[in-house]
Formats: sequence, C-alpha cells, structure tokens
Amino acid sequence: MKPEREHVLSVCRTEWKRIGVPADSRDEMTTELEGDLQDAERDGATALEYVGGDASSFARRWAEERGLARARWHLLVTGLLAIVGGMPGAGLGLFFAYGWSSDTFRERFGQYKTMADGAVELVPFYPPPALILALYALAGLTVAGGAFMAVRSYFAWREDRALRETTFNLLIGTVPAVAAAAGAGITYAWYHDFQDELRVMLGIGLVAALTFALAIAALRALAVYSTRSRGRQPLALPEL
Amino acid sequence: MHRMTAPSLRQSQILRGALDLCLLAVIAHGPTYGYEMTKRLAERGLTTVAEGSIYPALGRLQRDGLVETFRQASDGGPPRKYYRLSPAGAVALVEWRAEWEGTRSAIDRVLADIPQTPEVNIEVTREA
Repeated sequence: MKPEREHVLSVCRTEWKRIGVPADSRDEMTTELEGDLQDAERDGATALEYVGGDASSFARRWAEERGLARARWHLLVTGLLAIVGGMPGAGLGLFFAYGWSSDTFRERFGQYKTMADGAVELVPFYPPPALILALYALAGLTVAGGAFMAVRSYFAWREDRALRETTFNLLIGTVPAVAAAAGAGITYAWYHDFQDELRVMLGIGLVAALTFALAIAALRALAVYSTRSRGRQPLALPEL
Repeated sequence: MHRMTAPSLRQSQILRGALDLCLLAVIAHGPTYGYEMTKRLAERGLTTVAEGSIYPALGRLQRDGLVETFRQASDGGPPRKYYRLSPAGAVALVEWRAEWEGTRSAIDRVLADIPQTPEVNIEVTREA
C-alpha cells in the first residue's frame, strides 16, 4: 500500500475512533475508501487530494452525515452516569476511611474489659490493616461496578449498536482509573493525617475526581491513537 | 467594489444544495460505488465536485434510507461497496427533480433580462 494512502486511511480511522464511530462501521468505511483511493491513484490523483486535503475533517464530516459520530454526547451522558453510579462506592470508601476512625465507631464496636484492679474499661476497636485495605478495595470495586452498570443500563435502554464495544472498553478502562483515583485520594488523606475537616474531605473528592478524569483521558487517548501507532490494517468488510 | 469569487468555488457553492439530487440521479442508472460516481459526474460536466464531498453526501442518503448498499468483489483490491436506489430514494428522486426544475425555472426568469456580456452592462450604466 502506498504510504500516503496508508496515512490517509490511518488518519481517518483514528478520527472515527476518536468521535465514537462503532468498529464495524469503521471497518466498512475504511474498506470502501481504500478501494476508491486505489482507483484515484491509478488515475493520477493523490490520496490526500482525493479526500480534499484534510483527511481528519473529511472523516469527521462523513461520519457525522451518516449519523455515526456521537462521542461528545456519549461522553457527557456516560460520564455523568458513571459519576452517579460510582457514588455509593465512593461513599463506602469515605466511610471506611473516616467512619472507622471516629470515636463513636470505636466505642460502639469496642469491648469492655475488666482490668486487674477490677475496674471496667472500654477497649476501642481498631480494625486490622489488612481488613482496611480489603474494604478499600471493596469500595473501589463498588465504584467501578456502579459506574459500569449505570452506563451499561443506559446503552441497553438505548439499544445502541456500540453497546458491546463501549461497555467492554469502559470495563477495561474504569478499573485502573478507579484504582488510580482511590490511590490518589487515600494518599491525599494520608498526607493530611486523615483529618475529618471539610477542607480535607473536599480535597479528597477533588483529587480523586481529577485523577479519575486524567486516567480515563489517558486511557482513551491510548486506545484511540494506538490504532495509528500500530498501523493496523483495515479489516474485511462485513456482509452488508 | 465587490469581492470576486473564483468560478469553481461559486459553482461548488451552487452545487452544494443539488449534490444529493445529482448522486441519486447517477445511482438511478444502476448500482455504483463512490469513485465511479465522481467520474460519472465529471463526465457530465460537474468537474468541480470535490471527491471528498461525495462520501458525506452518500452517508446522508444512506442514513435517510434513500440508498441501499451491498458488497461486491473487485479485481485486485478490497471488496467494493455499491450503492443502489431504495424505493424511498426513487420517490425522492422524482420529487427533488420537480423541485429542482421549479427552482431552476424561477432563477431563469430572474436572469432572463440580464444581458449576456458585461460590456453591454457597462454601456447601460454610462448612458444612465
């Protein structure tokens, strides 16, 4: 394949992936364009000339006119749903981080013991570190699961063609993003000695949300641009 | 003073609204694929239709159910995606053609009194 044709097809595929065109449509459009570019080159035109000089813009317009470019709307909806779905897990995590360290909790679950001098004293309950870590992990999984289920429900309700691909990517992407967010939030809380002041609590939420957003953005960029770096060949055209 | 527009650009702007109609008309002659359509349009004098603009227009027609697609093997290349008119497309073609002819007649009437050459126009202005 000629380098310029390969470049044009690669740019188009990347753009389609970026704006949320489903994989089967990407493959179909790539195959269609590849055949026509071959003919155009045979007749003396270059691949870039054929698509009007701007492959990315060309690819976007084509997908938009076919009604296949829905990334922005999907990102907004899925992002909001992921946040809502992840809230119970986040609340659970905050409870494990702060509720357990409160005097009320320690006294409630502590045990009264009779001392050597006959006096009865309350021995506060301190959960073992392994249990705390396990519960943090449980909270993280609850966040990921909640976000995933919320978004999956939306796609199922919409009977969306991109259901399988989008949810699969979300499943892969959400888990490390939540882990990174939880790690950043816990680190921030640890840095502030797990104080239960409003300022620290807000800071934890902000740090976790920013880390989550950055992780998702990085994973998405990796997923979109890995197509170009790998130089993946267009797949066979599916049956129409 | 007025801004001059390149003839090719002006023609492209005029064609923009009629491209869907032209594509339906080309497809009505038989199943065809993207590049072949640009060649057929060029053979009929529409040389200023940018190849890149064909695909968004075809995508629009496909989205609206006016064309159907099918796959066919090609010589030495990837399988071709052919477009053919759907029943709704055939109806649309007739309607759009009537609309186009109505619009063209109206524009022709507007332009009927305009002299064919700019020199005549200049003389008229000087006399006035």
